[in-house]
Amino acid sequence: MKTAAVSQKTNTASNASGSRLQRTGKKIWTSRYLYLLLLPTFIWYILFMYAPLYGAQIAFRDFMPALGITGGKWVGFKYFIQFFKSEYFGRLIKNTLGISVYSIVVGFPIPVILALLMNEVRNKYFKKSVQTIVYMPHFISAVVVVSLLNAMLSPSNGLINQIIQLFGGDAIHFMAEPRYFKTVYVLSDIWQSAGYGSIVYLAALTSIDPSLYEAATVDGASKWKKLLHITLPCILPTIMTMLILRMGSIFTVGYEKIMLMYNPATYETADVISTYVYRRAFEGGEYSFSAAIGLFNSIINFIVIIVFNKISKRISEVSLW
Amino acid sequence: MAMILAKRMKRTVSVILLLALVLGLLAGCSSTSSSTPDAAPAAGGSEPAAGGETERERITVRVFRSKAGHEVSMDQMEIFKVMGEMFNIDFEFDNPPQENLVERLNLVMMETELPDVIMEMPMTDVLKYGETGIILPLNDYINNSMPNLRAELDKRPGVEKSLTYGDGNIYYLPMLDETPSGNTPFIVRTDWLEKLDMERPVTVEDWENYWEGVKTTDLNENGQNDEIPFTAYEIERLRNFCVAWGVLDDFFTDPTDGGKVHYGPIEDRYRDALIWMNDMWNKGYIDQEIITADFSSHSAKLAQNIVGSFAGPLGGLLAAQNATMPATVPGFHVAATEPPLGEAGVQIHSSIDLVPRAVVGATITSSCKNVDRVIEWLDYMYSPEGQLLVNMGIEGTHYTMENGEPVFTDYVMNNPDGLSPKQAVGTFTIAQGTGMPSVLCFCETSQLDDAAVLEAKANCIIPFLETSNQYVIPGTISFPSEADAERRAAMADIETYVDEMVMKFITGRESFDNWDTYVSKVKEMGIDNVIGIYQDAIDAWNS
Amino acid sequence: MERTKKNTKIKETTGERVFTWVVYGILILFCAVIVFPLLHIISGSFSDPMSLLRGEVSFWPKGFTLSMYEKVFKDASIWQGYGNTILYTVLGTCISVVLTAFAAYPLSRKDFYGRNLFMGLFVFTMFFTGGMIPTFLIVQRLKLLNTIWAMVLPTAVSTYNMIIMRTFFESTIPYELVESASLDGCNDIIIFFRIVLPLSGPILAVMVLFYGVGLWNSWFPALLYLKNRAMYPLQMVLREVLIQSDISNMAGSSGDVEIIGDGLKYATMVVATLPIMCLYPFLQKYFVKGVMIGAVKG
Repeated sequence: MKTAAVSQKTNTASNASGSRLQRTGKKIWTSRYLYLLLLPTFIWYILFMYAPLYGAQIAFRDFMPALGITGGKWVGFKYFIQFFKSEYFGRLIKNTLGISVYSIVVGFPIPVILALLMNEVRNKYFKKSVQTIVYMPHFISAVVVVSLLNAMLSPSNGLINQIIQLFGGDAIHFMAEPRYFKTVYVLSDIWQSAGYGSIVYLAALTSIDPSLYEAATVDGASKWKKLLHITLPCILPTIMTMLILRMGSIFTVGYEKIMLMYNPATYETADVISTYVYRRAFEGGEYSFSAAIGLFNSIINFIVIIVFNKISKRISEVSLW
Repeated sequence: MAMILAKRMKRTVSVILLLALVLGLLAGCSSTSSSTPDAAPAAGGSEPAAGGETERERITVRVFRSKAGHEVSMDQMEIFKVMGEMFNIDFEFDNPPQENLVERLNLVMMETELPDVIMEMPMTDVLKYGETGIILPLNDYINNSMPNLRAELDKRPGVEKSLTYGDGNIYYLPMLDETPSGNTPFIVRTDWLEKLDMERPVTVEDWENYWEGVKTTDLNENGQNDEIPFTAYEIERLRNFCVAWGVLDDFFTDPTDGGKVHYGPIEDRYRDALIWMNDMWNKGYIDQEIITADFSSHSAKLAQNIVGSFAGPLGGLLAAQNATMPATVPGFHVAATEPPLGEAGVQIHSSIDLVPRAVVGATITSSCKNVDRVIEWLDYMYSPEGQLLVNMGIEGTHYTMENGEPVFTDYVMNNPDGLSPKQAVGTFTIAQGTGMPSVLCFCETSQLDDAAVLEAKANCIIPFLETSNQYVIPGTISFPSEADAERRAAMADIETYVDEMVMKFITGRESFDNWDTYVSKVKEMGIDNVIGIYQDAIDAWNS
Repeated sequence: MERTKKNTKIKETTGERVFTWVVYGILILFCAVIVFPLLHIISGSFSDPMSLLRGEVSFWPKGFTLSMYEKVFKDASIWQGYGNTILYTVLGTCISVVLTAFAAYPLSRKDFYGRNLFMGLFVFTMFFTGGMIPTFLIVQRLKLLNTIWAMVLPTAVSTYNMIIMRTFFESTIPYELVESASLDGCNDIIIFFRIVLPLSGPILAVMVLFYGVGLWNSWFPALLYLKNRAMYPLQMVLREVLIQSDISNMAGSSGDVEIIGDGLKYATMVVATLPIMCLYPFLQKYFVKGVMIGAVKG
């Protein structure tokens, strides 16, 4: 693998001067132990990620499992066009982006805030208990979360509606109202994953050099100032990295929970690309169609992450590559 | 009045007919079992096998079939151990969970070495695997080396035709059935009907009256007006009331239009049905939460003793309700109803077993090296002894012969480990035969069904099978692969749109003034083309 | 840490006290919102199924019974599943954490030649993959089908986790430390094991948790790659228990009279997640230990 990198570099630098080539060679030689360290993971990527990539071609074929990957005949962009022309194309894009943006705007800051709050707690036992509690919902399966939602939001005997009625309001059938779908989806997601999501920030927080705080305390800085001028800057790289990664899936909303939550009454705000693909694939193994939409999705996400990475590099100097 | 009288007459007649049917079947069953000794030599194919066992090489047969929730894994089922000894076969099972059957099968089909026998292949996949030579055509084997199956086929006119595909081949061995019936009827509280002094509803007016009674009377005597006239675990159960207007909630063949294919949700008659449903919705007879219901929330509602009527599977809702509820609600009883009768003047039960019933039992793949030996084993399961083994298990342990009739022992009917009868059967064989190359015997089903279920089948389903069959499109029809892809692509969008709009019509979010716009939109999405595809498939099937 | 605490205590102003109370208040509220549904699940799993169906169970078991648990544990394959899952989780977590750390460290070094190229190669796979069937074919060709390796290798590395780890290395391992060590004659591999890893307690804990939880909950690879039911992990077995309460199985016509519903669902969940939840308290101490980094540096 080392030699592969060498030859590639050599090619690109073929018309450069010999000294530059030498410099490159020297750089590679200094990194030799790092290459050795990277080697096993690199092999893993080639085997389990790059080798199966040839299968992506089924997006352009009439794929049938029994005939193998290359068995179906070429159909070009047929399935892409089928998707673009679909009755629901516009609505799917709108809903997918809507839910995604909503959950980034509302959901992304919460794990950060949670981690910061936990960091302010000095009581060891309280801190430990809070940490343990908030990460537990992560383990609840989507089926159970949705059945809890249905129970809590039920218009006849749900807790939330009982509270609404206590204050003189009318019961709302949340799960059958298109305009509440996104909110219910995003808030229940936060309930389930905010605690687990804060773990990464907690780890970053524990690695901040305490001498920084000591110096600030000596200077008479308030807690708020310390938070703003020490804590936040120190975990900013982690926050930005997480944000870039999150942006990379802006066109993706998982189907599992939505499938459990939606119904014909809320289709108009709930149906997203992945649920549509699932229905199509489920209807009878339309693998090529799902592969085509998957590919379309990936390209868009890839573009978004490249653009966002560039922006991040410029304003915060954090970059994935 | 005259109509109700006619109804009564009809019911009495149907009960008599059913009795005759049951008696006839019982006779049939006992005659087979009594003739077992004579039948053994007739099943000549298997005789030399038993005799020359020592000379025959032991072979391994790999079998693919999904595992249902109520079954143990197949390698633990005693019947396969018995058959393994009988035919000198070691079975090797690929036995994934039922709900993942399709994913697993698609992967298995990509392996270089396929299983020898694939049971329970989805009906829609059979033709494409057959055409590509991945599963073998079986006509010759059926005619030459499967005397037992041949005999069963000869007993059932029409089955062989429905097994044969357009290319003249038979690709699968069927699971045959002695007693076609149906499922998911509408279900009512009979104890509440008594309190209201009403009969089981038949016409849509009856239904409305009953619902009005439930809504306005404190039938559960808890001092609260919390009775729900009708609810279900999915809105489709409500939509199914459209049968009273002579349309199905799906594609169907319309005998009033020369048997041509129609798509229910865009018919004018369907609109009339929706207007009625919307009226019922506005009157508060339909549970609002039907929109978001699932099976567990639905069960929870039923357990609260507030529901007047619902719809659902015979086992999971009818039998289960009667078995569990009376303990906490004295007098509780539910029963099925006849299909609702409306202005169309017909009673259609939309979810019926298809006649002739011949679903996929087993296919043999091109990887199978000992086709003759496998065929010999498979044919045994159609023989009288084989049927008895597959349906009832092992004599003495799982059943005993009483008056020439196989009767399940306490191991099944009153299981020491507290298993339900169906689960107990699932510990030694495939309970109720799903996806099994054999004949599902009346002797098995009748003992596993409870009284309310038998009554429902006898009074509320079987009498209407003949009419229903004119409407329901047989599940055995198959589409050429290109047309099928077209159908699927179009229907994915159409169904989403229809579901959405029908929901809006019922709940009143969409005015019926927009009905024509809705219909033309569905047409724009290509419904006529899909209707044509169905029509072609039906024509091909009929010819 | 201790010193900081004393200092702040002495100098706490009214504003800061309010700040502290607000922090505690918000956290308690958040925990309450999380805890109540969880309590419902736990008490539901210990309640009489009919009471649960009737909606009589809130946060305390009604008609206490262990029958749901009996039902779950009656199945002998549960224990086998537990064994398999522990094996897959321990082995898989080791492999995953090692592979991830081995790649994350070089990628965190700004002086690593080809850093962007490798990073690009890895990030690319977050978006473009061959999908289920081609991956299956590779696993088949590597002769991993129906082996323990099929459960741990195909999903061993998560690029997402690798990036998190790399970011941690970048922002917490001071380059001067590496530089001085290499001047002392240590090569990069020795530096990684002797200097970087000992400083990475918190992130290793996070990785063990992320990978461990993922492997514990995984069932799809089992469905794809395993034929032998004796090798099924716990989640696969439990999914089958759950299927019994599924509508598709009620569709039959026989008098299968069991109404199990949510109780079984809840019990299954408790059985499946309790052991992995216990992992967290053990890892928690590393989140505290991380603070030592300053001392090492001094």
